[in-house]
Amino acid sequence: MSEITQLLGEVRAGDGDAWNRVVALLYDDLRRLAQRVKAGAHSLDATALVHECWLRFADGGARGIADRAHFFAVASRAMRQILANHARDRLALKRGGGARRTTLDDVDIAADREADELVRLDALLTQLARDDERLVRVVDCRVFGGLSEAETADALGLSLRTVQRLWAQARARLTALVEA
Amino acid sequence: MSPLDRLLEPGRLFQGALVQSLLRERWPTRELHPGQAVGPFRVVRELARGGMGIVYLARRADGEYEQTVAVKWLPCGAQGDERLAQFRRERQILAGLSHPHIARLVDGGRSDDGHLWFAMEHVDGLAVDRHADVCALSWRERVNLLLPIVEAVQFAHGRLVVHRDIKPSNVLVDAEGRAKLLDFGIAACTADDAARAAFTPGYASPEQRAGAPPDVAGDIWQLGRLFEVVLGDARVPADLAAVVAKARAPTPAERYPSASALRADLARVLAYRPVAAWPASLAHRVELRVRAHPLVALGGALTLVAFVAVVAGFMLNLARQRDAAERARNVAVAVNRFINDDLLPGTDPVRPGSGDIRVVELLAGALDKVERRLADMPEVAGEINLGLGRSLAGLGRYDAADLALGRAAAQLAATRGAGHDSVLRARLARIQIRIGDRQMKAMEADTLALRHDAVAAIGADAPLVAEIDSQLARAAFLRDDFTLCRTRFDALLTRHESIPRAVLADIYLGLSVCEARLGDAVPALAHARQAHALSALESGADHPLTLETGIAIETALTALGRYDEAVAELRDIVARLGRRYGEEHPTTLTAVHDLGFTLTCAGNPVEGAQWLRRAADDRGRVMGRDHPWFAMSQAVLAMALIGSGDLDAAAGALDAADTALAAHPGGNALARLATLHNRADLALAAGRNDDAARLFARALADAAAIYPPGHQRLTMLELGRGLALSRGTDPDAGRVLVVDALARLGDKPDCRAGRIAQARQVAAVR
Repeated sequence: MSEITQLLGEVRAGDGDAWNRVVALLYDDLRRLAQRVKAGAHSLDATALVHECWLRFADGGARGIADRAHFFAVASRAMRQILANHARDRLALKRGGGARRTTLDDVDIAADREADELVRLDALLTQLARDDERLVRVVDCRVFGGLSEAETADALGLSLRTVQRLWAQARARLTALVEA
Repeated sequence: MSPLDRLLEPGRLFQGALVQSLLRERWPTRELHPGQAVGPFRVVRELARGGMGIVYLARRADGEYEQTVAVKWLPCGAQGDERLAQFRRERQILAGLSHPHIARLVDGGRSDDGHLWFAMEHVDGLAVDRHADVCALSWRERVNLLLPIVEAVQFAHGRLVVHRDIKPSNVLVDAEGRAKLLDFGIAACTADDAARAAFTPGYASPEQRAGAPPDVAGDIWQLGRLFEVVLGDARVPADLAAVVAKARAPTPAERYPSASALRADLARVLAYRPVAAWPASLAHRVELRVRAHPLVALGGALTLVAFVAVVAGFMLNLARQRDAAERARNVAVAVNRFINDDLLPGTDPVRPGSGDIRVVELLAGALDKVERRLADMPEVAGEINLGLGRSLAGLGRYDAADLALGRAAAQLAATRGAGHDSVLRARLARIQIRIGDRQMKAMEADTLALRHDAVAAIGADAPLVAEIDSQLARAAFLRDDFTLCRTRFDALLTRHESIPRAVLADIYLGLSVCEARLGDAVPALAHARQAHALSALESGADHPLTLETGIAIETALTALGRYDEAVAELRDIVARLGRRYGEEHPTTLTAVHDLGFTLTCAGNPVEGAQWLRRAADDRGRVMGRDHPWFAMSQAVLAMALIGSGDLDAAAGALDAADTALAAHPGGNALARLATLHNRADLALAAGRNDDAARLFARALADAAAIYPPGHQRLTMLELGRGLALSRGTDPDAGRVLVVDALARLGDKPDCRAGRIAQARQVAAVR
C-alpha cells in the first residue's frame, strides 16, 4: 500500500470529520458551480471544482489533510462517492417510482443511461481495488477529480511515469473486466 | 467508443447528463418571467446570465414614478437574521455609492423563497472592450475611456468598498460614451461565503486564486487586467505597458498601493506623451518606479511624523509649564487616545499593517474626531487643530485646513487669550491659504486687522509681524498690483536684522516674483537666487520653500529669454514637486504651467500645449473652473496652440478662459489681459486683421493700467497692433508702430519670437 493510500485510509477511518468536511465542501462547490452552469457562464469543470474546493477547505484550516495534493486525491474520491450515490438514487427512483415522472426528455434518458454506466464502473472499481488499490486511486483522480497526469502524480506522491503506466494499466484491466 | 471508454475520458463525465441532473435536482434556481414582481419592480425581459445569477430588465410602476432598472437575481443564499442584517447594512453602503461612473444601486431585497436581488441603474450599452473595438478607438482614447473607472474604484475604496469582480463585462459604455462600472460590491452583499470566494477565471488576482479575501490590491490587479484586455494588441507606449504591468504585478506589494496612484500614473502617461520618447533606460525605470509610488502618501507620511511630533512636543511643554501632574496625565491620555484610536488606525482601514497611507483623507477625517474626543479640553483641541490645519494646508486641502485653523484660533483664543502667539499664528496660517477669488478680496483687510492685533499684543518688532507684513505684500501680488508688492517687500528688507532667516528667504522670494512680473528680470533672478540660498541653508534643498525659490529662478530665466536653461530646470522641479506635494497640488501645477509656457517660448509649442492642457485641466479640477489660475492656464494654452497652428483649439481655450473670468467681473486683470492679448494674436494668425487691430488696442488700454510705461508687454502689444494695421486698413501707420516697437525692444528676448520676426520683415520693406 502506498503512503497516500494509507493516508486516505486514515482520513476515511480515523478522521471522519475531515472526510465529511470534504464531502460537504464539494457539495457546496457543486451547488455554486451549478449556478454558474445554469447561468450559462461556464461548463462544469471538475478541475476548477476541486481547486476551488481546496481553497475553501484550506481556508477553514486543513485539519486531517496533509496538503493541497493530498486534498485533491481525497476530493477526487469524494466526488466519485457523490456521483455514484446520485446515480444509485436515480436508478432506484426509476425502478421504484417511475410513474412519478410523466415525461422523460432526452436529458433524462441520457442521464439514466449514464447513471447505469456509472454504477457499473463504481462496482468494477471496487472489484479492481482488491487487486491493486493504486490503479483505482489513479482513476479517481483522472476521472472524478479532473486532474491531469502531472497533478495526479503530485496528488498520489507517484512519479509521472508511474501514473502514466498505472492509468494505461487501469483502463486495460477495466476493459478486461467488462468483457469478462 | 464503448460506454466505459466514454466514462473514463477525463472531463467527459462532468459534461454529461448525469451531473446535470444531479445539479438540477439538488439546487434549483427559480427563473423569473416577464410580468413577475420583484420588490416594487416588474420583470420586462432577461438581459444576461452571468457567473453570479440572471439579470433582468425591470420597470418600476407603482404610480409614484417610472424607473427602468437592471435586476440582478442571485441564487438562494444562506438564511439567518444576522446574515440578512449584514446584507441590509452592506446594501445601505452601496446605495450611498453615488458616482457618475458607478451604476447606482437602487434597491435590493430577499424574495420569499430566499433569492437575493439587487435593482441597479440600467446601463444600455456594450461592454467596454467591445465598444473600444467597434469604435476602433486609439490607445489614448481607450485610456481616457477607462480613467474614470479607475477614479470610480478610487472613490469606492475611499468609502471602504472593494469591487472584487472588475472585468470588461462589468464595465458598460452608455449612449453618451461614458463608461460605467456595474456590480459594485455585490459579491460582498450576498453574505454567502461561496459567492464571496467565487471569482471569474482570468480576472482573479493571484492571491484571490490562492484563496485570500478580496481587498484593494485585488481591485488594482483587476484594473490592470481590465486595461490589458481593453488595450488588446494595440501598440502602446512603453510607459503605459509599464503602468499596466505594475498594476498587475504578482504580489500586492509590487502593485500600486492605491487606485489614485494608478490614476496619477495613467494621467502622467497621457500628459507625458511627448517626453515618453525617453529611452527605456534603467534610470527611466527607476524614475517610473519612484513616480509610481504614492507621492501624496510619501509627503503625507512625513507630515504625519511631523504632526505627531507637534503633539508630543506640546504635551511636554504642558507638563513642564503646569505643575499639576494629574492634569498632564489627563492630557497625555487624551492625546494618546486621539493618536492611537482616531488617527493611526485610519492609516489603512483596508489592509492593516501595510504602508499604504492616504494621509490626506486621514487628516481630514481626524477633524471631527478632534472635536468629539477633546471636547472638554479646548486648549489641547486647539493645538491639535493648529497642527492638523498646517498639515492639511501643506497637502493642498485648503478647505479642510481653513476649518481646522478657524477652530484652532477660536479654541486657543478662548483658553490662552486673543493676543497669544499661537492664536495670531493660527490666524496668519488661515489667511495664507486663501486662494479663492472671493476670499482674496477679504484677505488684505483681514491681514491688516491681524497686524493691528499683533502689534498691540507682541510689538512691531516681533518676527511674526514681519511674516504678517510679508503676507500683506503677497496680497498686493495676488491682486496683480506688482508695484505695491515690490514697495512693500522693499520696505520689509530695511528691517533686515530682526527677521529670521526663513522669513527672509520668503521675502526675497516674493520680491523676486513681483520684480519678474514688472519685467525687471535681472534683479528678479538675483533675489530668487538669494532666496534659494537662504532657504537651502535654513531648511534644506527639498524643503517646499526652497522648491518654490527654484520656480522663481526659472521665472526670471524665462523673462531673460534663457528658455532652454529654464526648461531643463523646470522639468526637474516638476518632478520634485510632484514627489513632494503630489501631482495635483497647486504648487506642482504652477510649475507644470510654467513648463508649458517656457517650452512654448523655447520654440516647442506642441509639447508646451500638452503641459498647459494638463495645468488647465488639473487647476480646473482642483481649484474650480472659475478660478483665475485656471483662466490663466487656458489663456497661455491658447498661445501655445496658436504657435503650433491649431487655431480652432486656441479659440476653444480662450472661450474657456473667458467663461472662467466672467464668473468674477472686475479683478484678475492679468489673466484677463493674457486672454485678450491671445485673442488679438489669434485674430492676427487667422488673417482677421481689423479684429486683431481692435483687440490689440483694447489690450493696450488694459495693460497700461497694470504695467509701468515702457514695459515689454506694452511694447509687444503695440508691435501686434502695428502688424495688424500693416496687413489691414492702414499699412503706413502700422509700419510706423512696428518700427517704433522694434526700436524699443532692441535685442531683448520675448516669448513671441515669431511675431518679432514678422515685424522685422514689415520694417525691412520700404
